[in-house]
Amino acid sequence: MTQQTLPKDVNAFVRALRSVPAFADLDTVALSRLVPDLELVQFEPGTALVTAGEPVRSAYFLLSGSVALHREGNPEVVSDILVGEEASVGLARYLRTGEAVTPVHAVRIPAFLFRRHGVGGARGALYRTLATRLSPAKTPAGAMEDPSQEGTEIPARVSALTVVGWALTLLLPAAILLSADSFGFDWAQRHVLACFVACLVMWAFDLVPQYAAATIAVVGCLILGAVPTEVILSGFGDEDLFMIFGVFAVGSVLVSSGLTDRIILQVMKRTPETAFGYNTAFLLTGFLLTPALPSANSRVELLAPLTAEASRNLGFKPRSPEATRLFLSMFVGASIFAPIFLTSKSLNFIVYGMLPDQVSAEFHWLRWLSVTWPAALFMLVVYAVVTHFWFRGGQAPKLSREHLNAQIATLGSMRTAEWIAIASVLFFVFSLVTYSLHKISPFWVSFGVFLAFLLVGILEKRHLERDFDWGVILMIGFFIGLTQSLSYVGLTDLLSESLSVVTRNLRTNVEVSVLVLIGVISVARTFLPITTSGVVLCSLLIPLSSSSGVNPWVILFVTLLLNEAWIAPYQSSYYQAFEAASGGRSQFDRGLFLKVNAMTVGLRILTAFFALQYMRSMNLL
Amino acid sequence: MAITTVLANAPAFRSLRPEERARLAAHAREVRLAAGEPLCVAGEPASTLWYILDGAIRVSSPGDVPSRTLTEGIIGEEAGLGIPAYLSSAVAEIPSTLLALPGRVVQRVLDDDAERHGGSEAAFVPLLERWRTALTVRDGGGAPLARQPQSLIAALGWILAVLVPAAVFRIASGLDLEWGQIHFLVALSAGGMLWVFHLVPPVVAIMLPMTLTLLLGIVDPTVMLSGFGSRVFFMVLSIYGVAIPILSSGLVPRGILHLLRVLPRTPRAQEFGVFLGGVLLTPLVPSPERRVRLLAPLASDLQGRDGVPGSSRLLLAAVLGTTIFTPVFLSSAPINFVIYGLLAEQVQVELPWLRWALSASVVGGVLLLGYPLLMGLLFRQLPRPIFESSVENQLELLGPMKVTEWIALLGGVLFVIASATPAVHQIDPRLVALTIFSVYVMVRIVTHREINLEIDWSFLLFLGAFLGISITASTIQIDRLLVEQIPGLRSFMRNEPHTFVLGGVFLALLLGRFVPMSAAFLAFFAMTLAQVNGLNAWVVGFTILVAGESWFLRKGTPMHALVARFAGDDPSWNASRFVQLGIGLAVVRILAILASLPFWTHREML
Repeated sequence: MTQQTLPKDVNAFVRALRSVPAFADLDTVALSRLVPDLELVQFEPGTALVTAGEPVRSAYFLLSGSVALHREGNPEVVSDILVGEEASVGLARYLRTGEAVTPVHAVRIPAFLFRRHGVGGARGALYRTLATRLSPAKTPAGAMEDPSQEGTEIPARVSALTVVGWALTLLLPAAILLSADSFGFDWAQRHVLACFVACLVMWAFDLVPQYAAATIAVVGCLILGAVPTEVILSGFGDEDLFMIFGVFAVGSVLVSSGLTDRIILQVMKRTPETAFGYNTAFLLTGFLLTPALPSANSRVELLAPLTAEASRNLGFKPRSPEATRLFLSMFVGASIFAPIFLTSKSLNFIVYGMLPDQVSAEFHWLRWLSVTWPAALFMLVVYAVVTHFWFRGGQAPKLSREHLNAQIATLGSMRTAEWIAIASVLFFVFSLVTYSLHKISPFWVSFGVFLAFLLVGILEKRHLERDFDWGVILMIGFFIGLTQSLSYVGLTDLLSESLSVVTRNLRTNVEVSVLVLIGVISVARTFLPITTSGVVLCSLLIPLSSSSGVNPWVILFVTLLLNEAWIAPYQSSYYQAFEAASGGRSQFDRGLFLKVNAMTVGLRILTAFFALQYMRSMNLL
Repeated sequence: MAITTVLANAPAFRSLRPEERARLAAHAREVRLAAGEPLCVAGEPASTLWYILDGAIRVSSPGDVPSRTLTEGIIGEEAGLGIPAYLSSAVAEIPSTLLALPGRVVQRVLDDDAERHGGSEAAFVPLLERWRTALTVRDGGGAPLARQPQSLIAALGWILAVLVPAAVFRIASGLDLEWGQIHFLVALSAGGMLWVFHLVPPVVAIMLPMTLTLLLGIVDPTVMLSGFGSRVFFMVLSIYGVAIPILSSGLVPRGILHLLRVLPRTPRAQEFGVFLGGVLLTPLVPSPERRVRLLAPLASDLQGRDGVPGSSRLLLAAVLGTTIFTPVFLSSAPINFVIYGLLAEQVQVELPWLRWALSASVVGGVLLLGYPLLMGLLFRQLPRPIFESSVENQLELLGPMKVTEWIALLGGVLFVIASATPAVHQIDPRLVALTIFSVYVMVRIVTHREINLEIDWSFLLFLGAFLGISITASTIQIDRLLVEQIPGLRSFMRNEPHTFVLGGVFLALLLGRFVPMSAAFLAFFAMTLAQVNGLNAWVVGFTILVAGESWFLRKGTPMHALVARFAGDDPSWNASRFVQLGIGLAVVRILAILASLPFWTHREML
């Protein structure tokens, strides 16, 4: 068997792909995503494409030539069909041997693609037995086993870390309840703090899902009666929560319309064929998506599968340094620039709302960017240069233009759904950029987009069930309530006083202030997720900065910049989302990825110092 | 070998849940074949699927497919896959024993299983074509959020959705109203038109005025969003959470089967057992549709052979048992919480779960009496007996109680007791429910996926927005405005409360036939008027609820599709039965309201 590039006539290829029955139900976007896994292969006469009794690995769609399908007796000579259709119906072993009679050109379709889209469960099992029964060939042993059931399940083991985590979940709150009164905490403060700490420990040790930890802490506060019910349950009536609906809605439409697939493919087509070129293209794609989609999780989830496809298109081996670099470029582009734009994260909106009215009116979208762009440029350049030298001398990309063209051809011309996705994103960004003119809260613009999608039927109940992460919404709702409770019992004020050292020194000694801030954020981020830590720190530091004569926006920006840094995967929800969406460790070298990510922590600190100097020159400090 | 072991070990049924295998077991029967005796013939209608227990079966297919001798596995997959005819012939080579399963039952179980596993059957289509057979058209799955409105009515609706708000704007501008009041009324009328004409689902219709009010800044966002932080919102969220393991653990089928086992072996007692099971489930699962989905397959399977007139009698017992008391228990349906949420906060506190049930007790009593009447109306013949062996088989297959079932049972019992006795323990039932839910998520009995799928988030969005609209209307005093604009209404409501209530009932009955969730729509206005004029808002809302939800089985609803799917095998069941049942339910409900009026007057509620 020899491998070839895909045929020049991509339309013929696309037609061939569409004629594979197993993919008949797939939409255009899903179909185009199959392309990078397909190969054109050639067989000489007499060569076996598939062998009866051998494990099923692929099916072959014949583009030209004839194949003899052997069974007991005379061979059946066929052409223009799927050879090895055992793969398409989920059998574990081939039932018939298929041998090339003439030179054969075929598209190799890996079996996992069929498994991914084929019917499962009991119905799948019945189909498999029936298909085997009615096959005109002998049934080899094990042919009917469900290949997806292969492998034994590893029984879950309770790790020492889990035991330590549960012990701390019990002991730390107990210690707070028993000893905190000696530090001046009153009854309500002790109890709220105990519940809050229990929640954080459960998060930090990943003992329960995040929404479960928040629910347990809320129930704890309610049972103890430490805060009124209206306060702790107020999170679900909070504006922040409603912004999420718009974010999920836009994300859902961008993905389902296929617009992001099209953009990535066009970017790849027009990028110079060098590693630096492709990595810069992915870095910039992530960067450009940042102000349009206000959720880092959504951005990386959106781009991760596309990066995996691009990596295969470029001929990078899974887990190779080159593939890892490409994933890094996308990830860094979509996440590191979050503090640069007001509209890049819900956290930015939340802390923006904490600014004094006069300051928030001044720092609208454009003004924000006018101060932050040097920091963005600094990060962009330093990252590009450092990674260029870090990954020097690797495998050069070999873009399969045929695969790329086939994918673009499969997508066809722009569809209505894509135009709607473009219009909604433009409307969204335009509304956010012109906030200072219309003064309509971004929360309601976002919710309005969600409602508009529902009204015109782009979003349906199945999207609400499948594409919306209600666990996250539950968690945010409860967690906002918990932070409100901290404030209600006066714990926020107590913490504020202890942090006044940061703002006191900012005007006189920037280095000390930033170093202290790094220390505070490091401690906070050990236990708190990014959003919570950002909200808590900004809610403490912004009032202090006002009283210290420092521009609160400066404090806000530096806090956001440093708060986003993370080293351990548990500290970043968007890294976890990225790992899940990209196929994780099978796609990139996790160790290398985390090392480069650790470098970006240093980059953030450097950028903070650089940005403060720039702000000083602009008389903001 | 016991059926239990056979089905649990069969590779084809490995992905099924124990309760689904139990459903198969209820219909399984052993078949013995002598050597040379045929099992099935290619081309004949495929109605039964067999599992080989012992012996050897020779299977031969038309064409060049070689004959095979099978000593294990399944024969007659066609019946389970909905393929109309057998594709192979099968004959016993030696004396053989097989387990026979009705294809219809296997198909239903596989449908439920497919909802969990998904995937496309497209790969098999060419194979089936090659076998010269046709696929039966399968049900497309879950009902869409919106029904496709008929084009003419939809066109009229869209025109009115533009004209009515414009007219409201013009009329309201001529009155002595503030800017915010005018625009709120305009937004409300636009949403109302979309709702009434079913142009969009109610949740979208209600979110339109909510979003417009927020965008226009008519009230502070905290007011409009207060519905999402309300006690009712959390009550519903928590109850959904408590119900998840009850639905998914397999506890319900086990409970019903135990109930049937202890009841006398007479057909009437067994039918009553299924009905009672539905009634007991009512306060625990906050969705009539989910309850029917849980109980209908069990009742249908227990009934045994189909194709006999009246074979859906047990199914109807389950449907009525799970739905007839829906208005009586607060926690039995989402719409009940809408009515509850429209009550003043103080009234909500004073009207816990048990007081709601007590106040609704006369309605409940009449509905209970109506059950045999409805069954008599629909079925002339007696119910057929349930085979004792099928109950035993199913219980055996379910095995011993699982930990998740114990936890679900404990949680359910705790919730019911806590909800019924707040006066004793002084603990907010919401807190009890939320605590139970937090335990479920902590021990991971409730998963992330179940949170997404089993909690009706679109209803929660509806509820939060609906209550927010109600609170906003009160805040900007639209409610008082309504009363002032209708001369004589105040004195009429005070002097003729019964007439007002019955007028609401009539309207609810009328609107309920055509408008989804019409009770919520009507109750919004009627309860607002009642509260302003000192009439008992609960009585007004409750009677609208009882009457408005009479047509829950009307064509086009998910419930109608569900019942039709399971009753379809009964030749005496047709479209007119739905009409009879709908009218019967409406009459019984009106009688129940009429009987309750003296009771409420006696309790000084009217």
